[in-house]
Amino acid sequence: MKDIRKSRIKMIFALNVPAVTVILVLLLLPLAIGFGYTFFKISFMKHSFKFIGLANYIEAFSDSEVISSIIRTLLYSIISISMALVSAIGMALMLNKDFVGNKICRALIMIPWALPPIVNGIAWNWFFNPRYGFFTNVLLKLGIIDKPINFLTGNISAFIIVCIATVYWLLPFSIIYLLALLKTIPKSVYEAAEIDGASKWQRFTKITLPLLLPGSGVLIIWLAIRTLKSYDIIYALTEGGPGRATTVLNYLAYSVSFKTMDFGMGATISFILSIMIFLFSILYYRFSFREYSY
Amino acid sequence: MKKNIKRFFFYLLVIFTMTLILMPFLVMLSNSFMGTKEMFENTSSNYHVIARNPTLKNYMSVFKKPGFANALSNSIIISGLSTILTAILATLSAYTISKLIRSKKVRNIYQFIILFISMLPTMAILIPLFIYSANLGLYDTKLLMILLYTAFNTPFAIWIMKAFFDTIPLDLSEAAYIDGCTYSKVMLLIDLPLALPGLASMMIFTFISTWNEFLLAMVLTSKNAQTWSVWVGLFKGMYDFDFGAMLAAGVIGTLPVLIMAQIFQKWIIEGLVSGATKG
Repeated sequence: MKDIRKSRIKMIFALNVPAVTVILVLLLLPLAIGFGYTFFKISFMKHSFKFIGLANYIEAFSDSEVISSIIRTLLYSIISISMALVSAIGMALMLNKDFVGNKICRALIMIPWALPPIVNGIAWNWFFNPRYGFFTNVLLKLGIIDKPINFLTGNISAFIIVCIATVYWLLPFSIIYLLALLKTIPKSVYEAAEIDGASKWQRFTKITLPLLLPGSGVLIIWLAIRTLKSYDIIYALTEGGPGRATTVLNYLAYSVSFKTMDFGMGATISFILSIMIFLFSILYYRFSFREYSY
Repeated sequence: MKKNIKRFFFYLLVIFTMTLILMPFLVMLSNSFMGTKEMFENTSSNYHVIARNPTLKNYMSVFKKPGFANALSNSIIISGLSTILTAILATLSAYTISKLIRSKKVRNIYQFIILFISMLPTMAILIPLFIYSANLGLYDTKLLMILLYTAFNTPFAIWIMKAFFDTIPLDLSEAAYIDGCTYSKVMLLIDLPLALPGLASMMIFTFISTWNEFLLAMVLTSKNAQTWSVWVGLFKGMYDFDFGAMLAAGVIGTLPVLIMAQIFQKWIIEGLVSGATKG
């Protein structure tokens, strides 16, 4: 018996060596080094590293740009997630019905998921183009506006467009996930409610929503992590502008690191972002292990 | 009668939402077939979505642009090889988590670490990678990108594969052990064949996310190993900004993943759902 145990443990180590090595060397080692960088003032051109203790953190938290980026990131996440959830619930309920073409619709909603985020950004940028864009021209034709408007140069409208593009990208996964959740609600619950004379709206608010919500925890956290990490959509749409109107934390970290070339500060902002994501992954882990019964 | 009206409005709703969902992509697709003149006149009262004189000019000009063939072949090589590597590494590790590690505590800690790493933002490690790849002479090489994508994708791939291995009952392998099968034999001959659909799902998933990745490739490559998404992304900053070619390039690079997503739709959905729901 002991021999079997021994060979099992040997096997566990042997099978994990490749993945663990790759992850250790290429992810965790850079992560540790990156954390180390947060205590340095780095000049890449001069190859100089100067230890400055916590100065980067103090500077980051007293810098209005960082603070407003954090607020912007949270706003961006909250708006995108709630828009994605509401529209995904609606579409999941629609696709949960039996109708001709259901299968085709389910296949087509995968398109925004497979669309590379960079192309997603390009497509939406084109969609809102002030001269040739679909949106402005339709508004013009309908007579809602009388002059072309560049929505991408307005602070608030650019922010909303970035949120819309993000929702678009998050939608397929949310719908698929909610469809899987809807499948787990037993039909008998609805039948019982129908016998008791519950209206359609009552069935939705009293049965579907409350039963969807606990399982949606995982989805919401997953969406939160995706939005916190999003970069490419913003790059392709607005490059963080106009001004700083769409500069979220991840984009700020990028531009401080690779445009200003201030690696120490860039690493510090990245580390703040990683901590935020770490907190969410703890939540995610907790939620995804909970079991529900109806 | 009432039922028919209801059904009519339902279909109207379906068509409306599906159009809404596909609109940005469809506009991009149809405008990419417009010639330069048509495109520049396509505004205000003259606006139309579907090209009146469809041409492949934009596509031709994309094929002729410098770096296009290089970027496309780089993306195929990098995504392909790193998907294969990821599949091997992730399958082995996921197998141990699901079948071989018996201590619940060890398994949970290991799983959490894997999960956290899979959530890690690229920016958190990008600066050291940039500095070290330059110092080690790996900057702008396919090798670096293949290895990095493998490292990046492996944690989530482990997560998906573990969910699939979990669905295979333990009794099967237990019976084989009693009959004197070794661990490696049980893995290769019993559990792995049963997890093949999961493997396929994970590989498609990995390939698409590697193909679509942008930030890592933009910082760590310049010409030699430039991937397709970076090549398209840099269009915007180019001197002679060519709208038509940009749209066409976007469509070309999207087609492979769109086709894959449609063909393997069932597997992708399974992978997405199992990766996210089953711990």
